[in-house]
Amino acid sequence: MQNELLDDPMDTGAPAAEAAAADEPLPPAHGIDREVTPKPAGNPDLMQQSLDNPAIPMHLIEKRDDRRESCDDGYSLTVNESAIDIESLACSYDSNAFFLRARFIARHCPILRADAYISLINYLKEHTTDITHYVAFFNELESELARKEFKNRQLNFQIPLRDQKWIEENGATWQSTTDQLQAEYKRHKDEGVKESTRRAMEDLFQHYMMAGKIDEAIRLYSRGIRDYCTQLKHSINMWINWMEVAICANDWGKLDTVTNTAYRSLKDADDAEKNSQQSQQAPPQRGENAPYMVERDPNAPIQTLTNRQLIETALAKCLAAQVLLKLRNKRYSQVVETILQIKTECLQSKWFVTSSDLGIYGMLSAMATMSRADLKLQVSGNGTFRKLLESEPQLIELLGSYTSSRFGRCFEIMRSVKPRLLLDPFISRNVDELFEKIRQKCVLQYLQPYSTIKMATMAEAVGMSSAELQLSLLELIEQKHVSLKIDQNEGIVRILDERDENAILKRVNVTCDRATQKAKSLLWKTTLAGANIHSISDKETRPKRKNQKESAKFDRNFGGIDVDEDPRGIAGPSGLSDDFNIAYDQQPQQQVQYLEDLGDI
Amino acid sequence: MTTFFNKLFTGASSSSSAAASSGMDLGSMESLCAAINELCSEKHVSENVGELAAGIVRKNKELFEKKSNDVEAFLLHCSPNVGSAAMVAAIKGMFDTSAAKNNETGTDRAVELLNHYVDENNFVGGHLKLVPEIIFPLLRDVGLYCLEKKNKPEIGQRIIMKALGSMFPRNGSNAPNVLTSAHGVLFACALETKDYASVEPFIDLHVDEIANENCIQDQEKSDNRERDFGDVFLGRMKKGAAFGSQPVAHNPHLHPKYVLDYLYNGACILIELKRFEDALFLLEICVGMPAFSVQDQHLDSFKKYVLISLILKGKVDVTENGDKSAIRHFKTKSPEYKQFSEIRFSRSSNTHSAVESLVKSAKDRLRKDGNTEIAKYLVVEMKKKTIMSLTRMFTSIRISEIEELAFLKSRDQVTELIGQLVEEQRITVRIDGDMVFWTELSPVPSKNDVENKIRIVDHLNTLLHEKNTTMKAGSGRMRPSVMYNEDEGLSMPPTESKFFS
Repeated sequence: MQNELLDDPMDTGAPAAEAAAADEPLPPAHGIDREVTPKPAGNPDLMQQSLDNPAIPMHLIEKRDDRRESCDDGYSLTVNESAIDIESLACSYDSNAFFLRARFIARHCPILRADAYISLINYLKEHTTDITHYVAFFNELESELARKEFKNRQLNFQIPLRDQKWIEENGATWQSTTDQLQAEYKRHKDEGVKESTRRAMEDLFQHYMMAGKIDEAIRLYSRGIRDYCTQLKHSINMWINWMEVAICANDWGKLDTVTNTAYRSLKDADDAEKNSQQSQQAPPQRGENAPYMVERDPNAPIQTLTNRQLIETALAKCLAAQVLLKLRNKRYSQVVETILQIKTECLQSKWFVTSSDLGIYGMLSAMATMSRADLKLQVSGNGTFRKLLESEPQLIELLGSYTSSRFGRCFEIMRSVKPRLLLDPFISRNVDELFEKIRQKCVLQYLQPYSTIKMATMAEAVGMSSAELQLSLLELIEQKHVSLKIDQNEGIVRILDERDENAILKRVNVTCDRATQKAKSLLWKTTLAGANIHSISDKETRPKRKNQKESAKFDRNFGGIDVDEDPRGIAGPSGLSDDFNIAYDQQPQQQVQYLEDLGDI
Repeated sequence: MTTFFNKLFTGASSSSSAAASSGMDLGSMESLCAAINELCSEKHVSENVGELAAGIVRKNKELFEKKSNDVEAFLLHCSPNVGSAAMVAAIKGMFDTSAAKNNETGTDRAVELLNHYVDENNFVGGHLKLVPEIIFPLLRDVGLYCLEKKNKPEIGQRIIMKALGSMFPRNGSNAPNVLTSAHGVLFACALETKDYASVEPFIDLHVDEIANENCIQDQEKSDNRERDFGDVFLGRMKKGAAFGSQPVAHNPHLHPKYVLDYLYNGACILIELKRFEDALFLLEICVGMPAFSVQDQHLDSFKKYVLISLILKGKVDVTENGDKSAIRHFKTKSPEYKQFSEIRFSRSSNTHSAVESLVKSAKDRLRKDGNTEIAKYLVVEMKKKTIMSLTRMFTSIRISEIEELAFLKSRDQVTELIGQLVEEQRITVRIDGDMVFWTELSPVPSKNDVENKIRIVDHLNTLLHEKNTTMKAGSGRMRPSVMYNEDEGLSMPPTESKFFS
């Protein structure tokens, strides 16, 4: 029912086939919804029966939960150390940010699993209507408590009781509320009032988010939410919601698209705001130069400040989201550059990443990629980074040890903070690589003044075992960062002199060989050209190219796509659908008028 | 020799005896023979007799096809010192006529005659070169006939080698390296006979010229076209002449597929000879040749290029192979080789195990492509590369660590690989207990060697500049549609010879 309402082509303008394809992932989720929240809301007995039969709903719940956790399921990580205080986590992060991190910890840290699940359960009950995750986490908690290894373990939180009444009440009301909100949304959409449609859409979005139905929320926003945002604050709120829901869903592709588009829009709004402030003597006017501005009283400084704050907050969140993306894509040098652009004072304190998180990400990325001189200038000597790391004294010491060549202390700190970083869902996958890069840089720095050095001495200085040191040296050699040879018999490392005459002769010889090869290849081509041989086969024998049809198809499709919209192009037809609806509504009147004119004749 | 050929080509018979017994008139061929032999007289300069004979042959080409029964008599009476071009034209006429009529006896006899005269060194190589449109197609067709029809590639190989050897001697002379359509067939025969060493001298990495096997026919066509225009449009002769001369300069000297044959088959032979660097060079040229549609050999070249590149470099530099869209097309056509092309050797990544897995999973495709042996060699070479990378990082190392760092399965495998590398003179090894002392044998070039190479680079650079200048000044800048004449002009309508008139 709900899908039919939302997927009506006349409403959104989306092709029916595309809508069907987009709905393919729905059946399992929809099936779960039906099992957990049956339609007859007024009949609690049916709900009780479905909950009393744990096989089917619990299996479906587990299945759905596993599907949503597909990104983490492929990541096998186990941290056997309680490196994070769950209670502090709840104080540092809010709403979905806490949910995301606590769930990650529950999956990958057996010691903190029970505490994490208890905290999650309490959060869900107090702040959401997400009975799906509530039941799933309760099952996980019970399984954890039933394990033999858990008997001697002490919990930091009180084990909650399953609140069956809460489950029943929310399950009963959720579907009716959903139907009501969907009907409201459709009604406003049919009426063609953008502001009302936007508000209804927003209510439905929040409803989905509260119930933990992230996929539904994303799908809703992908149906042209931008067309209904007529004010700057609404656009900003839309971008922030979209980014947050993409992060919650682990949809990095969507996040990339949204942040890029949002950044351009917000920069345009920012520029417009600056222009408006510069011409504050004259009243601002709506127009192409100020697409996001609303006419307002120039004597209202609070409104101006509010808009300004909104834009800067949104920009800060957008850049922070891009930091997560770059970290995910292992673009460490860009991570540092992006962090330096963020106005962290505008960043919400309990968002998905805090100032401290950004400081940690930036510092580690800088240590792994920057030279020592750049590191001192852009990180150690940068007030912004110092401010970001002011609550992380251990990491400040790490940076100082690194720049001061106190490698043993540096590695000691790295080992101590590693468990905590591994439990951060946004940097966990990068920790080993970053640490390895830092370690290699330390080894390179240590080797610089020597031509021969004992392995044992070096291992002691850098705080590694001989085996670990050898592995690091091998990696450095293979990456061509250093040229040396290891003599295991003597236990020494000899640095090779690249400026040696023999080495130079070899390099020149290789260069000449390469140049000769290239020249001979070109001579072949000139010989063929001289014989009027320009291609192997004749142009007339060329088979018909398939991409010609695809190119034509692309040309047709390209005309209907707004490049600033969602790449799937759904919003484009949605934007056109309004005009189409208006035209369609006006068409009968035209016909009637024409008939009337004919009647007069 | 005749007896030997009679045993090989069963059913062959002497057409000359039959002709003599039948009492056929040999007047036309006899006159031609007399005319050619007269070139030996004192009134002609010895240096020009070959060219004069070639001119006579071109003007009387149709006669050889019409009088194919008189070919043997003509060969008996014609003097090879001046009539080599005419003799090969006669044999070609006999061969083509018989082939057109599916007369196996005639084609066998033609091959026998050609082999006899070539084997006896009767032909003057310099004169044969004057008729490239005759000699090279003949050698090509005879080679293909022996290879495919008679399943006797060794005969075709010998004929082509002797003929090419007489035309382009390889005894240290400074003669230019010429690419002909016969070379590709020669290499194909060698691949069948597995006699690689004898054809190796004919594989040139640097080709100075491509034999013009089409130019003469085009010139004659142009002449005929001019006459036709002159007869019909008497008052517009100049325009007709200008129009008729245009196509001459832009016709390819050789059908491009023969270049492809040269490159691909030559590379295959070099691979068999373990000359992988040279093979890679030819394959790279082959893969980089532009084409409107991908040929089978084009794709096969890419496949071999991928494997050989991995053997030599441990990676595939696809960006240097010209058109990227072509490379993408190759990869689409051959997904298994796409996986190979994405490999980059890295000891720490245990590349040799990955390659071995790939080879096992793609063994059917490799067998169909005839690349199984190369793939096996690749697997072993990857393991050797792993050992070599360790020799560059250690001056001494424990045997147990070699096994661990090289990701090998046993100490015996380590020992075997090290032994092979020592035999190939790639490393030197001394074992003291559990410790291995080794070093890579990479010769250091002397200053003179480097200076010589620098001079070579300068020379090549100068040569490139000269060729570029020539191309800009000439017709190289014009790139008309490529047109080919598959029948090589032998099907032209007969015309009365000026010589006889």
